[in-house]
Amino acid sequence: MRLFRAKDKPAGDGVGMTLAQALTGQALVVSAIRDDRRVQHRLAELGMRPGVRIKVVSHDMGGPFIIAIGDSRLALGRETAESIVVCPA
Amino acid sequence: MSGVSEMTQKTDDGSPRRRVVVALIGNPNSGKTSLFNAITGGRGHVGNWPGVTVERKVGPARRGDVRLEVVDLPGTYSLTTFSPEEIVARNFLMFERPDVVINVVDCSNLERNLYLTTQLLTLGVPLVLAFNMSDVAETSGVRIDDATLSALLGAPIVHTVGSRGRGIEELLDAAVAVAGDIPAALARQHSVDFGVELEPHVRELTAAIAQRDAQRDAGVSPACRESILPSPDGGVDLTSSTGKAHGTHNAGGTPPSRCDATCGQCKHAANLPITADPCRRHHRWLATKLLEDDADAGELLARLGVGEVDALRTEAAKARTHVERTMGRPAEMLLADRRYGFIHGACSQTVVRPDAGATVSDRIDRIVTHRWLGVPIFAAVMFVVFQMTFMLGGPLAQKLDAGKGWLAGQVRPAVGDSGAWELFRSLLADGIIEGVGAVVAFVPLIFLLYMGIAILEDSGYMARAAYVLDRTMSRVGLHGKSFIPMLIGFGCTVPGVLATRIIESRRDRLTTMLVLPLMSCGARLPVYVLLLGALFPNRTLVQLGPVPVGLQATMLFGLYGLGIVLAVACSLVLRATVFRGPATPLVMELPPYRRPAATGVVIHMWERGWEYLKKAGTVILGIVVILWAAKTWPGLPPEQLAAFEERRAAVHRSTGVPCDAGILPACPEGVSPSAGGEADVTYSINQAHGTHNAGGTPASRLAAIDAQQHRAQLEHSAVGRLGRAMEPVMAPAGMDWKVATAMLGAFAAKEVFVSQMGVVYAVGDGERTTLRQKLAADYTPLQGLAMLLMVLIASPCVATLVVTARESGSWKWAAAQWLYLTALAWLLAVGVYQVGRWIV
Repeated sequence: MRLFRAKDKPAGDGVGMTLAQALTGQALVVSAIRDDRRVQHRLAELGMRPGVRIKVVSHDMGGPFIIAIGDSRLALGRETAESIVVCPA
Repeated sequence: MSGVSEMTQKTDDGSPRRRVVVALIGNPNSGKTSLFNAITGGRGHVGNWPGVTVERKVGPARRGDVRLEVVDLPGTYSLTTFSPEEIVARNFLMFERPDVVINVVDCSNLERNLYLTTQLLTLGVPLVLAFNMSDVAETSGVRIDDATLSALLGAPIVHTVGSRGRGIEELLDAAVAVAGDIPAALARQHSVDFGVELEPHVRELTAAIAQRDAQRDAGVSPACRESILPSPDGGVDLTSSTGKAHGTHNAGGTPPSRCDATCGQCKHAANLPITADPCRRHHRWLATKLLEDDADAGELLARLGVGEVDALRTEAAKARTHVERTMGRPAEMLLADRRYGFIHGACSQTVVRPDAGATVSDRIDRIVTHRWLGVPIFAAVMFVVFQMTFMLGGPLAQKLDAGKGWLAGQVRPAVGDSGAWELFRSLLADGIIEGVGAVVAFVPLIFLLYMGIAILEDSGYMARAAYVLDRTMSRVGLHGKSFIPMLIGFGCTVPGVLATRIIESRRDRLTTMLVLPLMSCGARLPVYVLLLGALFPNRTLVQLGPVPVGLQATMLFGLYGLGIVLAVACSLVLRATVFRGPATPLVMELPPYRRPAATGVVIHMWERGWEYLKKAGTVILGIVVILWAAKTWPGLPPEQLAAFEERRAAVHRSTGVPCDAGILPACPEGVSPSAGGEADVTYSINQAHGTHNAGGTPASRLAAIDAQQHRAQLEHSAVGRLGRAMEPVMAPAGMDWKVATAMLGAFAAKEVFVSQMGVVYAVGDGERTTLRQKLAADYTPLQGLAMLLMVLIASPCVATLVVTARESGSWKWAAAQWLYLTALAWLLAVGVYQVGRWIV
């Protein structure tokens, strides 16, 4: 079950970890965004771009994520979260 | 509105004739609209989700001897071409050339908000920065060194609190000052330097565009052309030569990069209208657009009169390839990086903010957006809104309805009158007062519901609702954003359909459009209220502390809920069949929670409520008159009229003889206390004395004959015939020709159901009883339930169909929408009625 695997294996140990695997409260640095150009550009305009420090405010298993970027709070769908490669801050 | 900016002229004789066009631009949730309201003193609309302010709004303001025309542009994060809002805002700035642009910046979220500012600086428009919500920022400990930041950006900064009207005068003073000398303002402003990798490309493209700009040859000197390029210190200088000499405005720039009328080389510049202002040609900004491969770049260039667009594109493509090869990332990402870098650099020098951990909003969000609690909280919030609407609005609506009844009674013709005057009075009483009055009676409910929605929007909860529902929506193949048009659809389906523009994917958009009518719009509320009030007892189901939970409110809530459930089911089916494909991702900002400002909520409520009233006053009036005509003609044949006259004469002859049901079969129905009377106790107080007296007086017998005549007339008329024709289809759902007739009216606009019922029954009875009592006498709760289902689901109104056709680009989709919803409604209503009858 995905729910338990996510808990058993603490996120942030691998290099290729995506935002979707992160835990609530975790501070992260975006290293890459693997999405189509338009989405990438849109995310960048909202502040989500490589090199930026972010924090997971909350996330539902399988549901959307709330990410803190500076003072903004961004809601991201799971597919988008899966396309964002992060490493622990 | 006149969006075209007039030339800003400071007349030499000092006459107070200046008119300044001010554009307000800013991120969604930056408090832009509340600032607009504060500046213009109303006529605005505050929202907390993207897509509310799709239309730009205009309002007047005055500062000293200057008249301002303030244009509220839609909230945007950027000036690219991702959304219609961005395109609207960008086109206004580029082609309608406001005299000054006020960039509203939420200073509690400075860096993200300044991203748009960097684009405005590159675009080259005269800017004033309104650092809004500075109270919130101050409370959270943010300190901004205005002077330095203002110098770094090259634009004046004014602190404002839009919701409390603070800083407005200073803001307008700054705006008027900037508008008074646009070239100087543009000269002061600094653009982003895109760095060693990008800047040379940007400059090359800028020069290439300038070279092909036909307008340039209309009288711009080479020096002016130079000025489009950034000055050596990295800031771009955009100076122009409108009007006359503005004196010196050098701000330390190098002489060759300056252009004003004094240079003497721009020979025609003084005669150019501002729209051809040679130095506000946005060349540098267009160069960045070309580098970004913006879809609209070519079109914009062509619209500005720049030639050889294809050659420019080729050049830009070459630059893009070069950048991507050397830097490994697309140019638009690098440009965004440089803009953020510029902001970060500026802010690190000028802004101090405490390292806030979890904010209050975050803490609230942990509960409100909780995995399990989120949806129940959403349901509870919506329930409270409906309960409040019903509890406060119900009695008011009843009073208005009773007042309408009284008014109609005053003008209703006396028994037996005839002639043209009689016809006019009938139109007035049975058509206009009954029809429009019935709609107006529900205004308190509509206003209260809109108020509830406004509070939810302004507090920031609506965005959370979209977030919470994203899980459900993504299972249906839509994302939470699709819920925003649906939430708007609770107000009115038409703006809901328009709001589907925020959905990027066409499949998602069409799906959302097709299921939107299932969201119970404000116009359906009067119908629900009428049927619920008439056919269901107002019993208290549960007492929750001081709040009674009524049966009617619960059913109302259930109807709204059923609409949502059906919408979900229908989109699931649509996504699995007609619109199969991958779901689009959710990317949405969650604004911080805020206490809604009372004025904002009131303005918001008023604007939407007013729209409804206008509709009631115009469209509905027209429809009601048409329906009145349709039920008046064709008239009864003379021999039937004579028969009724004869019976009246008989009553007059036999004054005092008690009522005989055998002779006057309509008597008990028209006069006796209605069977459902106790269901409507509070409601019938006003009427009790007039109606429920002795059943056998001559007056009541005459009234009964009238009732029969009117009913006969209606059945004979065009509407009656059409309703009758529909009866075989409607009968399995427990509906008769009267309901069918009202449904015909509801096709024009949902709320017409109420007025049509009013007309149908006013015809059927000359007595001053309310519509609710009459309905209670004629229909059972089960029939009521079937009717409610029909009203909820069947046949979207004409306006919805027209907008759907326009927005989807094809009448095919509008037809599909009408057909599937009507079929679904009929099947459900028939199912409920037949099963219900079998059980009861």
